[in-house]
This record gives sequence, structure tokens and C-alpha cells, in this order.
Amino acid sequence: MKVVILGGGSAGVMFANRMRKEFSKDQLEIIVIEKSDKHIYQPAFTLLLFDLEDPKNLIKPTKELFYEGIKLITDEATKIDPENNKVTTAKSGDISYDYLVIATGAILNLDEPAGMKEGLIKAQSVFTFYTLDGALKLRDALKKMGGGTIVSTFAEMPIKCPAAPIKMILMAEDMARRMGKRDKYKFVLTTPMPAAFSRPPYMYALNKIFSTRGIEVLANYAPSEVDHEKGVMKEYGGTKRDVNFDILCITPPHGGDTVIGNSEGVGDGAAEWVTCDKNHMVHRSFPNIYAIGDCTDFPTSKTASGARKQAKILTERFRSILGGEEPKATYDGEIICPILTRDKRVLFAHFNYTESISPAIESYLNWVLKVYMLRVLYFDLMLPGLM
Amino acid sequence: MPVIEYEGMKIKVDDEGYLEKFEDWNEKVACALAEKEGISKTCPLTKEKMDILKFMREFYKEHKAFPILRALCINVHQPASCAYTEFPNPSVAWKIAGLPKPTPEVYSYFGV
Repeated sequence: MKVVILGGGSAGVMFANRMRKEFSKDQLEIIVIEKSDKHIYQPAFTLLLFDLEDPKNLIKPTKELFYEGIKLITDEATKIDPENNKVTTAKSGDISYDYLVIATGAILNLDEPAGMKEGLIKAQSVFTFYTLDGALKLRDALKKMGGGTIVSTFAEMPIKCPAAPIKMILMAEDMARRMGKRDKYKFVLTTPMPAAFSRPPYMYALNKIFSTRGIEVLANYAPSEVDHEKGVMKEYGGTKRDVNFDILCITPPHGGDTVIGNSEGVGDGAAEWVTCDKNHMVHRSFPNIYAIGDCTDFPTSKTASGARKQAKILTERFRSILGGEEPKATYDGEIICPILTRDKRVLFAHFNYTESISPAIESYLNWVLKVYMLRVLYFDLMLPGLM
Repeated sequence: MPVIEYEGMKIKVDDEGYLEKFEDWNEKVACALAEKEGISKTCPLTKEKMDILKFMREFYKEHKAFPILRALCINVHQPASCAYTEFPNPSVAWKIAGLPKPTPEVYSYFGV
């Protein structure tokens, strides 16, 4: 029996390691196809912006993350052929599978809004912290800034860690306050949604923070164009609210990996999220294909915490499936999203498909967990499938 | 319960103007709701607008949620920003589609 895992990011590594612990090599061959030889801990990108993390702590060689007995193929998967149970790769030929688990993550689409890509390349006033390089450039630009307007914007939803643009603007505002320069800055958050966060009680807590700290929130704002030279962002739609900026921190639209778009019937045909059952994680059309992590169309946040839970549940389901039993474990959409609200304070948004789980409390304990402990827990316990 | 009167029809809505019953919606009701929202005074609404509204209703029937907007626009063969260009924003389209006042779960596909 052979399981092929497409993608060696958070979800792929966690699942591969859990499966290796669960099944012997005689029971199951496990192959992971991953194009990158480096694994980057993305949840710390917002910490990098404010010198709360060192970039050298975030990168590890992909091959060092797997247990012995997992075959890693460093190559790009170019197409899935679900009818013939095989994956085509760029350099390693076709690889057959009995079960395929897609964990290809999300990619950034830099083509929209107009002008964003040029602004990001110039890196004078337009930045994104959704890449390591982008986060470091934004960190340096924030350090040099003496005052002006900082805008954080979501171009389109869904995105990875949907609270990240919120964290950025809250921490930037707090930085200005702590430097005694708050009166020299203006802070704006724009969102294409009716509100920056929709889940009570977190939405109420965040709305109160925005209003008491003088952060302007523009809702239902879908950016159509970014002019990095003039420092203006324009929007689609009837209201035409132009937003001026000195620094624009933009979250580009996300989508599924190219391999999903190349594989007929696997993605949604739009942003190329993999279409699968939100509880059982099985593909809607192909019963031996599963998906976990950011590549899925699950109606919950795309976070490493979600990937961890999905990897755990899917391993439990495979234990039943390969044991000839009806699988009972189901994913309930649980995710935990740590939102840095100010220095030494973090609010955890913790919810599943149907309900909010934790209260909306800004606490120092949450800060300690997020800033000092999570990376270590991630590399030492979560990726190896021990937590 | 407030009522919108439109060309001889009496349309029941809630206090915020959301249609009371999903099944009461038709193309003429959409015209009434669009006029109330200040979107369009002409009836019927354009094909582009109606295609968006019908897709949102079908998606709601199945998932009780907002569709991912890029998927919505591709499915109705329009540019990716269609919900913002045809209506001021997707929330207005949702209202004119005769869907109930959004709860937090409605936004689940956006992840927030």
C-alpha cells in the first residue's frame, strides 16, 4: 500500500510523520513530493516585523523534518491524474499511488490588484509580509519611518492566517505609541469583508481596540489599483474611496498551487482550492484523494493550527480505513489564531465550524506562548506529530 | 414587520430590510430590494446582476454561506471583482438576493 503526499509544508510534514509513527514500513510506503528544500516557519513573519524574532530561527532544511522511512522527492508535481492514480513530476517521472493526500498549501497571486506587483518589486512604499524577504523589507521600512500613514489591507479572502493584517496594524500602532510618536502617524485597515473579523466575541473585542486606539477601519473595500509612486490605493465599486499611504502593507490574493489548476476536476475551477468534504477531508469526486492544510476549501481559517488538527484526524481515519473499519474521526473546523494586539499582549481567537471556543482575552500568558514558545513547539513537537 | 410596496406587491422584510422569507424572492422582488438599496430603478435588473444574485441564492441553499467571491464571479463568467462592480459590495448583493441577515457562520469560507 502506498500513500503519496503532495507538499512538504506544515500539513504535509505533520501528516507524513504521524502516518510513519502509525504504520510500519511493511504496512505502508510513504512518499512526500516537495519542491522546496527549505521549510520556513511562516507564523513568525508578523513577529519579524517588530524584531520579536530572528529570521535565522525560521528556516530548516526540509529533509531534516521527516522520520526515517519516509521517502522525500525534491521535485515539483506538475499534474495529478486521478483516473489513473498517478502524479506527474517535473524531473522524476510519474509516481503512482493508492492514496493521495494533497497538502500543497496556498500561493500568492501578484497580478491583482493592478500596480501591486510593481510596488512590491520597488519596495519603497508597498510591502507584503507574506514572504520572508517581504517581511524583512517591511521591518526595515517601519524602522526608518518617522511618521505618516500606514495602511494594512486584505486584497481578497480567503488568505493564510486571516488575522495577520490585523496584527500588523495593531502592533505598528503600538510601536508608534511606545516611541512617543503616535500623533505623527495615521493607521488604516481595509478589508473586503463587512468587518475585519466576523466571529464574536473576537470581533467585538477587536472593534473596541480599533476605535479606542484610533485605527480607521474601511470595510467592504476591495482594492482595484495600487499606485506606489503617488501613494494611493483605489477601490472597485460605487463608493470610490481613495486611500493615501506612506507605507502600504498588502496581503495579495491567495489561490491553490499550480498543480491543482493543471489537474482537471481536483480544484474548484476558480481560485483552485481543492474541493473536499469539510469533516472527512476526502475529495468530493475521488474517494482515494484527501486534502489537508491551506490548499483546501474548508470553511475555516487557513492556519498551521488547523493543519495540525487535520493531520491528526486524517491519520486516525487512515488507521480505520487501512484496518478495514469505518472511519469515525471527523474534523470540526477547529483552529487557533493568536492575535498580537500590543506589546506583551495576545488575544487567541479559537473557534470551529459552528462555535467560538475561547473568550476574547488579551493576556501576557498568550504573548509568552506565541512569541517565545510556539516556534519551538512547532519544530520539536508539532511537525514530528507528537502534539 | 415592515413591508416594501412595489408595483402592487407587498414584500415583507425585517427591520433592516432583509427579505423575511427566502422563498418569497423572484426577479421582481429583486427589483424592489435593489431600488430600496439605491442600486437600480430599472426593472428587470441586468443579466450580470441577476446571474450574481441567482448564484448566491443557489450557494446559500447548499452551504448557508457567502461563496468565495472569485469562484462566484468565475461561475457567472464575469471579472473577479464582479460583486463590487455590479453592486457596491457583496453584502448589498446578498440583501438583494433575498437572503437573511448574515450571521458570523455566513462568512466561514473567508476564514474570519
